[in-house]
Amino acid sequence: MAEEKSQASSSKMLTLKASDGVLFEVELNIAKEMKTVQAYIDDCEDIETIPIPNVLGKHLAIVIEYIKKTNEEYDAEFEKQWNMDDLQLLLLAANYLNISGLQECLCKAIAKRIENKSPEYVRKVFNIENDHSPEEEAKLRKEYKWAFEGVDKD
Amino acid sequence: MENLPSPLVIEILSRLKDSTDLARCRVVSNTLNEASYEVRSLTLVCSMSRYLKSRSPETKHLITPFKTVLKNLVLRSPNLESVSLGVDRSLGGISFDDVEDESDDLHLTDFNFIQDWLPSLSKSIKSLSVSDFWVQSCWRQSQALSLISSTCHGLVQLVVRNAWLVVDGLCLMPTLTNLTLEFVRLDDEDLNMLNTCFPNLTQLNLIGVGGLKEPKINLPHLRTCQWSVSNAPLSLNISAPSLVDFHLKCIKPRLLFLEAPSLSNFNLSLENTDELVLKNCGNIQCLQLEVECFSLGYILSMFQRCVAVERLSLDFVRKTPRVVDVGADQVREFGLDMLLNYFPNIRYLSLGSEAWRVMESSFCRGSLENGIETKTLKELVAYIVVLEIEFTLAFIFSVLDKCTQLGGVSLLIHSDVDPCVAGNLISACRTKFPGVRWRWGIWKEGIKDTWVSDGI
Repeated sequence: MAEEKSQASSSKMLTLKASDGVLFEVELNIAKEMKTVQAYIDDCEDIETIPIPNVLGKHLAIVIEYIKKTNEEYDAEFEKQWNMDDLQLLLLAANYLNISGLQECLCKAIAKRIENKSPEYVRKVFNIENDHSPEEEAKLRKEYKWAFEGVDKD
Repeated sequence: MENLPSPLVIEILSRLKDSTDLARCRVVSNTLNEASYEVRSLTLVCSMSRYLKSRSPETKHLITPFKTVLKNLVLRSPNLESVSLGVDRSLGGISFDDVEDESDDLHLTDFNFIQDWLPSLSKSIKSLSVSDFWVQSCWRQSQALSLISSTCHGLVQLVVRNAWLVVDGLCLMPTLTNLTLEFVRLDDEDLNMLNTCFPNLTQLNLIGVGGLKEPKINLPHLRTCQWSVSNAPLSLNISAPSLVDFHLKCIKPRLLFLEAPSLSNFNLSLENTDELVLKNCGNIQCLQLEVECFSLGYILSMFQRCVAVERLSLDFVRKTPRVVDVGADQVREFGLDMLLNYFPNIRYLSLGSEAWRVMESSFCRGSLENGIETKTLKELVAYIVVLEIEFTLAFIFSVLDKCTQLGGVSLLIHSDVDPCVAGNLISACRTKFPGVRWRWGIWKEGIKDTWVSDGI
């Protein structure tokens, strides 16, 4: 069962402003889970609106929801809802905001999605350009030919 | 992942479960190739499919030998901090009869194999795990421990499974704090070398370790220990001043000696012993006992000084049925009074199905005196099989009459019990004791308990 973090500890509200201007009102104890925000508060005690320039409103909403609901069960289902682009952007957000639990969850999720997949799949899914020369690639493929058995079909 | 900065790419690659995936990432792009060398852990498992292909005449020439793969991966990454190699657990099911050759291609604790790659990691490696292939390792003595101890100067964690290890040449490993040996034959019959060479262990797991005669664990910093041993050792001796959590499963040692003044959580499974000595174990708060019914009196009497026990779980070892022995069937009379006598401060009591069955029979035979009330017990959990509902109800009510502060009762009823009977039991309990917080569930051997909130 998802458990909301207790609101009893602090009723003070804070406003977070995403990069696209979307505003979020959150309890202080939720905001403090973002170490970057915590540092901001420590520096400027009376602040009411904190700018989050690197994160879109859509992703900030997901991050806030995660902090409120995180537990083993929630985390296991969390990543299934998002496509690869969103997972990467969420990871960038979690990294910027310094939320270690969310960062861990997302890294594991992305790793899981490339398990047993071909290099072509990984390139497509992550939009990566192959910057190996043909000779380099051939050499690597030969060296690691054992790694190519039993790979999922794309 | 080109949008992600390199440190994050490395974090992702570090979470790949098998280094085969990491190897494929090297082909993806130059960036990923470079990032892959920053990953400090290596995991390589030989799957059943790989094993079969390496044996099949049609495919064996296509398979790169597992040891070659491992060596190449390690030699390319000289800064590895963690290495885990092994055969998949499914290969544990292969027996000698299935195997026609005497190859050692998967003998992973082979000294010469380890020597080919471990020294290159001597300064960096902190954690090493080797799950060997029993069919190839059980008849080949391995000097791996001596090599590991002389090579790995900063090793913190060591796990070895399915191997035959000798201790000749074992050196001191002062940084090692975590050791797990599982299904290992260890030629260190009294654990002398283990105690001497791994003096700073804080966590020790010896699961199915054979070759022991009169083992003594004597480790000043040990905090958690799990020891599961056959009936081969004559005695078991544990002296550990910092031990907090101890899980011991044994059969019938002649002597069991335990000195653990910091011990708080003790889980003991043993059929019987000629001599049980508990020295300075007065701080045990949580005790789980699984013993043979006949030995209960003796074993409980040895816990006499353990007045700090607040949580107690008890069950009787289920022996396999044998020729009916009237004496054996006449289980001793055993009631709640006996437990409360030895552990007057218990707040939480959990009774396994055999313990409940014996207590219920004793009660129903009317052979126990009704002792005084007790106010300490607050919570009861029991695994029950309802044979005669009247007897079960009578017993439950007697417990509640006696334990006047018992506020929470959780009963797991065996899944074979008729749902009508179970339903009747539940309503009778709720009606007679409406103030009690009742919880109901279903249990069955080998299956996880299911809790049901409203009836069954």
